[in-house]
Amino acid sequence: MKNIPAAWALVICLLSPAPGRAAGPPPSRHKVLEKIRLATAGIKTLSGNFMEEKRWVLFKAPVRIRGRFYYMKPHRLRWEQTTPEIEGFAVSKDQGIRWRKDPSRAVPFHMDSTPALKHFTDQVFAWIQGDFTRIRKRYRVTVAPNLPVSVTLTPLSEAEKAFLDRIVIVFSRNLKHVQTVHIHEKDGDATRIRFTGVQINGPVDPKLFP
Amino acid sequence: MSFFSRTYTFLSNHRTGLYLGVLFMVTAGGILSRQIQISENIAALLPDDHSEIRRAFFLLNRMPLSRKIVITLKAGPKTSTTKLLDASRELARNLGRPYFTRAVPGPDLSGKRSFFTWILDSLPNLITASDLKRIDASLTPEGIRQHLERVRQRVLSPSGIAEKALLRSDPLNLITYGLEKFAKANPIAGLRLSAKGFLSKDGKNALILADTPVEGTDFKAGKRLIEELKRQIALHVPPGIDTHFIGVHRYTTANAEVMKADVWRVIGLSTALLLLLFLLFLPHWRAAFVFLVPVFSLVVASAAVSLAFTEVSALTLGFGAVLLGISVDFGLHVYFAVRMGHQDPASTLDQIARPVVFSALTTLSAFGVLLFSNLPGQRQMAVFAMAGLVFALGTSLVVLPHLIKPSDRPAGRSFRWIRFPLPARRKAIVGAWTAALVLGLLGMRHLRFNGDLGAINRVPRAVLKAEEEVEKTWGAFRRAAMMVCQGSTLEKALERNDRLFARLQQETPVQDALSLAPVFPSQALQKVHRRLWRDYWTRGKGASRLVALRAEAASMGFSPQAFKPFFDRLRRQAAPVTLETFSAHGVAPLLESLLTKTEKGFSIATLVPDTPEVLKTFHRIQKRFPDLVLVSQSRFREIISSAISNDFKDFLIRATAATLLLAALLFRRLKPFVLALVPAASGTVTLLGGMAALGLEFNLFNVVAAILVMGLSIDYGIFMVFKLLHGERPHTERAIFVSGLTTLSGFAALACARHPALSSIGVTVVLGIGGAIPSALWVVPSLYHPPTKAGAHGSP
Repeated sequence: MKNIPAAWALVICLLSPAPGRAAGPPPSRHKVLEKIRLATAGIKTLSGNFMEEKRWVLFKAPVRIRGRFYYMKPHRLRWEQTTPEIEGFAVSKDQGIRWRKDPSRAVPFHMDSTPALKHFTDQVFAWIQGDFTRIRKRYRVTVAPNLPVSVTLTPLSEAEKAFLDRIVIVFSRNLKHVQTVHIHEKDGDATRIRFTGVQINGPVDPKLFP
Repeated sequence: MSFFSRTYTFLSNHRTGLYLGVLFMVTAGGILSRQIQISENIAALLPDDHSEIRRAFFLLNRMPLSRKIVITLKAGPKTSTTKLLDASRELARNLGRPYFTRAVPGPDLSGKRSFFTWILDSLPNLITASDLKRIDASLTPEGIRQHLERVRQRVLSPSGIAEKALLRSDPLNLITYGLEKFAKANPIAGLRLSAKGFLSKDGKNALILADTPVEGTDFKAGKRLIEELKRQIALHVPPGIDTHFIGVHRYTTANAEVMKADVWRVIGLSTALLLLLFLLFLPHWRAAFVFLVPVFSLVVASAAVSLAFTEVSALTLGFGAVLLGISVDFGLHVYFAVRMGHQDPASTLDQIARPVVFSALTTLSAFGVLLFSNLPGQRQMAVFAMAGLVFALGTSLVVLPHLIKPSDRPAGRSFRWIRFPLPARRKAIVGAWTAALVLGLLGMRHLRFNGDLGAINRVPRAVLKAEEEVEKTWGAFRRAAMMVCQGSTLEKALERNDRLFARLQQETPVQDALSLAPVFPSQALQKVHRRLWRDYWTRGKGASRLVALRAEAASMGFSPQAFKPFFDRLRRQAAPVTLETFSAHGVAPLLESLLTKTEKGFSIATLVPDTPEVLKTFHRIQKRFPDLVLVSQSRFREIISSAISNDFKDFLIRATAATLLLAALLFRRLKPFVLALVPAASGTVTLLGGMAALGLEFNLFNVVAAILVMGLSIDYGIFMVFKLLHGERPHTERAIFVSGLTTLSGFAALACARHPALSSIGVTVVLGIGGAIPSALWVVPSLYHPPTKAGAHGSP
């Protein structure tokens, strides 16, 4: 699906490794992205917490969602929301499971039956491998190399432009993990996601995935 | 002196001219027969009048699903679904003209959001009064709360941002009512829609539905089409994916190729058998002229049929082997009579001409009955056989006597053993014959008529396997029956379809009929639906449900603007559903599988199970829908069976009447007349009883076979009775026996054909002639001679 930028941004934030402290004149956009690509080459697992805040016209007040995520190279991802409701999914290549309230009662599904989720996970894996070429097919990528480094994605397709304005990914000052993602939609809806406790190449139980 | 003996005397002085005349006719026939357009069109086997069969067959072939080529790509264990769908799209993209007009690997849902939006926009056109009742029943306070909880849960899920717009537009999940209707109109049960293509439920198979301009009955173009498809599959489908396809062209091609191979195989085999018989029983070089009679007859018959018909069925030419076997009979009788006649050929002709002509007339009359058949294929066979027989009769009586010299020495083997056995065995022979006849008559009761054209088709294993795979993966949509509504305009056809759908909802066996009506009602009905929809939400119960929705949404933390798109849509005037809107949203393939534009307007098919219960329902509702047509394989079989049964009875009566009349004219006395019928009766009973005993079913080809047996068997009776009436004619048994063997050789060759239709004729005639020959040689003399005349036939 074309309209899942929040999830994309989230993944971008999670999987983009910190490029390291910059020194001297700001590096070019290409060099920053290349640093990210080189750093991602060594990622085998990722895990951490997230907090998502939605300021949407749908709700009277901002809604906050908390949870955890897990990634295992090359095609495994688990996404768990813990508040306000327990919900999530886990995928291994084309096969997936998803649950509501009780993860032990997860139901299987095929990725082809959920194009939105499939597209989301495809993009996740592209970002893990630092595949900016692929991302640039759908977004104009601009880099603000000054600290904190941020990458802004602006949609190229008219369909996506119709509702999405931009996605801004902000890295931590030490560039070791993504700090925040801002998703700005055309209708004024905004989503901010903050990541904490991100662990790179830490232990991840394979049983978390189908 | 008879006409033939006078002709013989006259032509004795003009032999060169006679031979040149024959050669000219045969050469001209050969040139003409080279122009023959061979057709493997199965329509030649169906009545070409305006009968229900013809109409049903026409519709069966015009229905969109039966015309499509169904291509299945099956992923191997190491092939991902993505790779499978990529291959499917790539193959479909490369299937182009001139063999394919379109190949659809799936609906174009690249803008799937737009597809869902279209369904939501179209709901006012599609939702019926009963749907509104169901909707209202679900919109209780508790129901509304559950809907809103679902909205909240889904927008807060990881992919919630993707669904937000749709959920704001449809908080009450009304889209399910629309999707339910689309599911009801999906003819392929095993299909699930993927954004990238048609996929099976297990994700292991992809489907392409291809349209072709090539007629299903066009063998040559069909063959090229299949070759092109195989080439494209080899080029564009990577290893690890099995591809198989099914379509009417595969059946046509397979049948035609088998038939063509059979034509040469059968003619070759029967010629070889005929040669063998000649070497065994007519070991003289002049016998070669007898052999030339059927060969020349075949050429002339082919020319005649090519002049009478623009296209000649391959089945008719396959019948050539039979003609070889029959047409040699006259020559054999002349040959044995002249050679062993110990007199001038003109005198021999005086003796032999009458039975030969009458036997030819009986055979011709039997085939003449087929000229009145409604089946073009049977009429072609009649013309083919009659032309060949007339030529064979003429050459046997006019030309052959000039080429054969009387001889004092008996030619060939001793035929003593075929002569009538000792009269002491008369009772035994008559007893055995009576017992066989009774058994045959009893067995006949168990004979079944089968009108299934598929049963007489040669279907290769690969085609059967592909058909099974398609059915296992995608469901039995190719076997479903269709109720077809027709209209001069689209709107008229849709209106009839609406009425039919409403009626079928009241009939248990067809409640689950797959119809276009739920997703594409007529414009008139759409207007009614729109009014009901508007009234419900503005003045009816729906208005109060909307108030409850706003209140509940507010209490659950939704903003007042949360569902603005939903309320805006309710206020908007919905655009009607049209052919164009289907195409614009990528779901035209769904529409095209059930809707056809015809020369007279439009026809819309409703798919129903092909069961006897549905057939009963059809008959019941037909009174209210006089133009409704049921297109069903089982009904088609039923009609054909009934037609064959009726045709057979008609043919049997006519052929019997014609042969009886001729036999009566010839003998003019009851006893010889009845005796002459013994071989025909025996042959027919043996044929029918033998088929029943062997568990064979009587199909439309056996009609031809039965008539043939009757025509040939009565010849044996005529010759035998002639011999008995007119004293010692030692050549008669010999001629009957050898001509019987030559006939059997032709049909035995036909029985070896790989095509069930051809072999069916062969087997049945072998059964019939196998019964007729012994009854002519032994039963007729047994019944004719009183016991006191012992020894009358004791020596050759």
